[in-house]
Amino acid sequence: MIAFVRSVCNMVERGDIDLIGESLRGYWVDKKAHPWHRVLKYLQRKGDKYADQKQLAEWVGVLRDGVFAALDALSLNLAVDISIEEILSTLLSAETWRDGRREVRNVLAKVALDLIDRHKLDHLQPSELARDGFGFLVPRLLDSQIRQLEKCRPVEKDDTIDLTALHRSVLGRMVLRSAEVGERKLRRDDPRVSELFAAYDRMLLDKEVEKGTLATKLDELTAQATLNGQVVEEARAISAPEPAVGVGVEENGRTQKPLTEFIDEKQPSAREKKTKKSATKGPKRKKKSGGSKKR
Amino acid sequence: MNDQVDIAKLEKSHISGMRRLIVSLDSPDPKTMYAAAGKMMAHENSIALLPKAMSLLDTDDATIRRLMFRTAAQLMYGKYVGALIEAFDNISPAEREQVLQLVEERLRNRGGPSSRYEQENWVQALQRLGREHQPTVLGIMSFLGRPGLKWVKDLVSERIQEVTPAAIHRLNTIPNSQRRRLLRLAVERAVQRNRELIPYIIDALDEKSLKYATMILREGAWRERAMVAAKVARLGIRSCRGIVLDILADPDWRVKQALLENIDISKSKFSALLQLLGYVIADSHARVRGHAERLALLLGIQTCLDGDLERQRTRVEKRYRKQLLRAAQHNPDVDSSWLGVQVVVPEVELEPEEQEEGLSLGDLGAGAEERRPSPGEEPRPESAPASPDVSSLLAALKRTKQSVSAGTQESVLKAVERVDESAAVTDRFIETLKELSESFGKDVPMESLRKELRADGVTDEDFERALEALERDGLVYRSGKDTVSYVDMEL
Repeated sequence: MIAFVRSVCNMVERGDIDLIGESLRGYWVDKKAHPWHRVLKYLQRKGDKYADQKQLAEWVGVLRDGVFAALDALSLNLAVDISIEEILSTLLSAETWRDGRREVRNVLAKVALDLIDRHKLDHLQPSELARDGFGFLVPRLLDSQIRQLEKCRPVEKDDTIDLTALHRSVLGRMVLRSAEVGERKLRRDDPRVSELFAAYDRMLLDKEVEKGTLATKLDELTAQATLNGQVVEEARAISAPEPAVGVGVEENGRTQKPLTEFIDEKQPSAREKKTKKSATKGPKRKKKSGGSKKR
Repeated sequence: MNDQVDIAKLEKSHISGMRRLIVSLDSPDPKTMYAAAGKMMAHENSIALLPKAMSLLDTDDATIRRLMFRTAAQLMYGKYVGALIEAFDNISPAEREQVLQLVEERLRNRGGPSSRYEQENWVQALQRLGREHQPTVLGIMSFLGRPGLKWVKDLVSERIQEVTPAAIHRLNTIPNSQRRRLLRLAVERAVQRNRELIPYIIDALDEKSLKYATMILREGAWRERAMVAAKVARLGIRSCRGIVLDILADPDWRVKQALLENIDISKSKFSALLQLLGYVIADSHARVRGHAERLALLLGIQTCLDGDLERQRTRVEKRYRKQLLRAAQHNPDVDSSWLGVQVVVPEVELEPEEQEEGLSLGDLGAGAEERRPSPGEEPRPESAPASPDVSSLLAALKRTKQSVSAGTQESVLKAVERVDESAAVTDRFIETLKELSESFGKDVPMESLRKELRADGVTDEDFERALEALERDGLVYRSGKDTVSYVDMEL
């Protein structure tokens, strides 16, 4: 058992996250070889035989990192307050690896959304969320960041300006850094005050603009990993063949598709001409005939 | 009393430690920020920090950016590898190289990923890097299992023109059997398409991969062949077969010389060296012979791999006594007292000026007629080496010495006049060169030599031809831009 813990730690150390995923998948095949369900209890009961508290804390941390990484959710690792025990029990109680993974990711996304709504944004990085397939969270995160910044506008109290709130906000810290202010309070007659306010307003404006431009870009991201429980790979598997089929038709969005197909049914000759240019005939016809049968 | 470990508490404390680090990394106070960034570098196992580090790869602060690149390089896996290398645009090439070296160090210390998918992922990300990072990339590739090795193999076999010398050196980090295969491939391709690499490849060869150098012996220029010979000699000669025989069969004497010059006796087997001596001791070229004799002498004082000095001495002396005596005088730097010769040694000591004149028995044997030709004396020392009698050798030596002391006083012109008209142009060339050496020193200007010879009726054409021929035979060499020197055997 302790060998299992060591081997998992070793995998993380070598960057073999892929193998951890395999081992997790292996749980459904052979529980004895991949005793993920027992590992934490074992450490709890016998852990102090093998290592001191510090080492144990590191093991638990590494196990957590490894599991999160294998679930493609490393970006939420430090943000959420869910213990590794809960994660593992949710994951392992599912029917299959895919179901378990989807469930855990749903839970994580829900918690992340909650964090975003409560403006607890310290450990959420938009770019990393997008990388892990949580792209649909990004617009709300950015929005929340801006709201957070708006809320903590520095206020004047007596002769000083209180900056504590600004220190707590993600964008606020960036404002403070760009104005080169490290203190929690500033005197009103400090020369940096005007600079600080200018930086604050600029940041607000910048982020609003950025949000607008990003909204168009994020369409693809949200399409890839949706909230309705679709896993990234599944989403990809479905979306990948689509361009091959729909190259000839340049409609924007999926909602349009059945409509075009319907029109195509009526005017097969026009469709034929278009598709000849872009793709081979064979697969297309099959697809079409399949569609017509359904109808 | 509960002696169970509170896992949840440990986990919480671990996470809050990481969180504190990340919050202080965001701090507006630069001091806190840099301290946190430095601490992140120290967390070698916490991939939890990876997302934060990756999100800061494009930050404006150069110091933070650099530290984040390093942190990420130590932790990265899977999708982060490609992302990090894509982000390389943000830093200068020198910093990229440092980051890559850090990656290599990490793989060396902690091992590379062992899953096939991960290895391929790394290879795919790394192959985008430019040629300037080739050595380090090659080092990293050697930790990436089969996909990494395949990349290296493709590089060597398909794109040998792009391989840099430093990368060849890095082939040595690859595990054994694979390395040999790669070296053979590298030799083959380098001979065909990238000759500049040959010296570096020869340098990278070891005992087992040395046999691949036969290809260079077959197709390379003499310089390359000589390099192979020197490498063979440095690695020691265990048996007088294979590549050693190939070198001995080489038409160019310089290749053989390189072999004999560099032999590492302590790494060689005595029987092999004795056999080798049998082939070269009677070589047609004087310099090869000279080196062979020196080697025989050295065998008396340096122990071989399987060595027993006494046995070595008796066997060498039994077969090559004559050559040993000759060598003892040529090589005053080598201790020859073990020969136990009473007659020769005092003779030499009594007449030390003989050596100052640059005369030795070897020269008498090599080309005595090219030396001072005093018609009256006509010493024929070539016959001397043939006779085993040492006293006749010494007699020849004495006669030559007299002729030398008689000839030194005469002027250059007189000496030229005395030259036998029937002597070949090359002979006259050598003679004139030697005469001029006395007035000019070792380096004789080409122009004055040409003038002297022209006065003697040698056309410029003959002059060039003679110079070329002598150079090939190793009797003279161009010591400077416009100077020529006579090759002195004593050196």
